[in-house]
Amino acid sequence: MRFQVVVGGKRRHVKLTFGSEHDLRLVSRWRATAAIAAHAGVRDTLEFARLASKRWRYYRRSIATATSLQHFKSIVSREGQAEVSILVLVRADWFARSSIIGLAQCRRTYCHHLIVEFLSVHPGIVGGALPRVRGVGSGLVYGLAELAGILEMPVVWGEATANSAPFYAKTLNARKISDHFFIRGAVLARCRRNFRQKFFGET
Amino acid sequence: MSEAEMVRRIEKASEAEDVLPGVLGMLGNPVTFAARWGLPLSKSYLKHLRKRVAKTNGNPGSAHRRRASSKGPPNSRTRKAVKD
Repeated sequence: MRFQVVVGGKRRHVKLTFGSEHDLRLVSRWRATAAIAAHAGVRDTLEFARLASKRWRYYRRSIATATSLQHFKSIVSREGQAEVSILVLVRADWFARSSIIGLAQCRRTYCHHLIVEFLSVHPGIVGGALPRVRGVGSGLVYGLAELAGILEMPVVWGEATANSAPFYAKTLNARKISDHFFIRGAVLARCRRNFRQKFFGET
Repeated sequence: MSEAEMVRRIEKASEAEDVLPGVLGMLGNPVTFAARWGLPLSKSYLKHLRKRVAKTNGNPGSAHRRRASSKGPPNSRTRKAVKD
């Protein structure tokens, strides 16, 4: 799948793909320039990227991990109640600092729901380094909704914190988000519409 | 649709990113995430946390201090010359 983001006032394409071990090596090399290192989210993002790599490797040893849409479907068709780990990446070959600019670690539960374990955007983008990139975080959330729709998953859910609740509330157009969020029904449909109509996403 | 309109649409739909904290999701900070899954935090991040906590406590000077020198000068790692 792919969608569009805004880079320095112009549209650029990014790809939404499944990740693998090799990609995690790239993510663990995410770095922030000194100019943005003091930004509140940057250090957390870097540390999370490092931990994400470790966590995903653990998943690879303990539960099924899908590295493509077809792979995911084949795992689920073989074992209907399988827990499946997936790493969804936002790829941009035009971004100088890294070819991966966003990631979401997700897990398919035995009842075919999608849990967002965490979601992260490149520290350079979070810190507002130039060129300014907009749309990676929101596009990723809407892209996950689209992915869930394609895989006929009725629910995407996750935990929210004091830091992340305002982002989810705005993105999901909810009046208030407490410590959890559920994307389903009309909200899921709206997120998928946003992906296609506002981010010009293509499957 | 014009290029400007398409850019405006994406910008508008990305307004939530003004409040994007960098990392989202379950266990939204590295400390709780690491604790839950038994993963070690990096030394540099721990140093960063010490500074952050010290600042929160209103004592930024105590963020990281070398061991007090009350026990005398640090031991030299170089081997002493052996007298014949």
